[in-house]
Amino acid sequence: MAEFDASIAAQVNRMVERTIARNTKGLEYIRAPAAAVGLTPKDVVLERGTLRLYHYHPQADEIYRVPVLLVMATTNKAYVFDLAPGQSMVEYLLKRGFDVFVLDWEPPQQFERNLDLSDYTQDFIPACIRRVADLTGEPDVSIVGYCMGGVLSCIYAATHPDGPLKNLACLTTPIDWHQMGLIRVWQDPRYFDVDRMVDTLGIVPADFITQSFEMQRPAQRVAGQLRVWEQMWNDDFVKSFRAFERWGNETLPLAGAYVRQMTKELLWDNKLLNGTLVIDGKSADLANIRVPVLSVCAEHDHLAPYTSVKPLMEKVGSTDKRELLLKGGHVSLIAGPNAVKRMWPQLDGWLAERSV
Amino acid sequence: MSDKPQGKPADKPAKNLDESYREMVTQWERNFDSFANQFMGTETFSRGMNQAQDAQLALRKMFQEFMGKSLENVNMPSREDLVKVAESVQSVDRRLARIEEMLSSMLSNASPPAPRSGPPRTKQPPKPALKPEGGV
Repeated sequence: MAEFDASIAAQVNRMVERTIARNTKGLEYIRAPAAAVGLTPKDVVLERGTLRLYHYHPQADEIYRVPVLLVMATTNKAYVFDLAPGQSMVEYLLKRGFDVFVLDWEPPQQFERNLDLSDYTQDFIPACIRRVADLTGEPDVSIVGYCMGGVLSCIYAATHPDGPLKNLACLTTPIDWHQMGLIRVWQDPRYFDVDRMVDTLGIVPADFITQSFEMQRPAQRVAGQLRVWEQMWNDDFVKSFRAFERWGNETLPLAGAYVRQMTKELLWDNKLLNGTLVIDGKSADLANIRVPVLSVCAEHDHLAPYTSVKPLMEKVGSTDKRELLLKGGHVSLIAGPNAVKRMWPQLDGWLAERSV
Repeated sequence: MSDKPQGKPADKPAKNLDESYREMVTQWERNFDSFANQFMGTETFSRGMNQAQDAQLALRKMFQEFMGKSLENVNMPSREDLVKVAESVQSVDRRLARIEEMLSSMLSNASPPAPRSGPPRTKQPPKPALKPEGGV
């Protein structure tokens, strides 16, 4: 009985302490400026229109021979790879001995409205690879693509079967676009007039992209706020929440021609899956990919569900290929406290063996 | 685009009020999302949403045309005109980038490779390799 009383007293005591902390820290939370993100030291080594290539300063005394190029999805900023010290995939890879480059995107301007898959896969990625080779003196490079960055990387790899790609890792990369759930319903060709939208807007605004993400989990934002209120006393939680919140709010607009091509050729015609995608006269059949491939999927990914990612393993022509299905969602797979334990060590181990 | 990325809630004592609150929020979120997705995953919703979007686009186009004509009347460049100028600047920019790249490649071919700074690229993978966690 005495033990039970003590337990109740301890709980009440903790509740009171946390309530006070919630009130004081809650005020700080409201007043605080945007969370600081992307703090790992880096240089901008290529800058052209929407494209930015960063080279991060090595943090190990000895590094692997093959540099790593992370290709970010075109819808979001690449600082999700470098959220905060201790929660940064870039920092983790640097400390594990990799030479890390990141391909990031700035919002495309009206004059870039005609950019399409050809620009991204035949111009931007090759230009970055040439720059990486120039800076490192190494003839080949490993690419790690996230989400749409993975799709672009696959198209690049399939249209450049002679390299200089050494390894390809795809994180939550949809291949079978007919498995894309709600997006496919909302962009049903019978109702969604992509030509009209692109011709009117030129650049598809970030709001449109954000809405299509958020509408798939409509309660997420409110639930997030309810969770952060309860955890307001927990500085680590709040710091992480704010960094993710900032990232989620900074969705990028997309070039109209790129959206048109994605919608028609990938979403409607499923050409990436069927092997019928042609870019600049070159076949982007995934069977052309012969380099080692790693595909990482998240169990609870609502944007690129496992069924949409799974065919990558069947379609690539590589003999050295591996698929990992890990716990987590589309974003928590690559960033946050769980990624530190689950995905990053796996990526490190896979790349390390193939980076000498 | 985020999916519960907010970090791990601290402490995991026996079930208390905080934990019940978290569970309640998670349950509410799941139920709400599931209900909303059922409704939003229908053809009727898709048709309605796209009709609303089309109406918005039509309005926007009308306004753009009206603004374009108004600017033309007062002899001012429209947004389209400015975009065209920006497009030609971009084309020049691309050509310059290509020329720059060609020149730098010609120069590097002509001279012996410069010594690279930074740590040596001699690192070997650790042995034994990490055990896979979730392989399929």
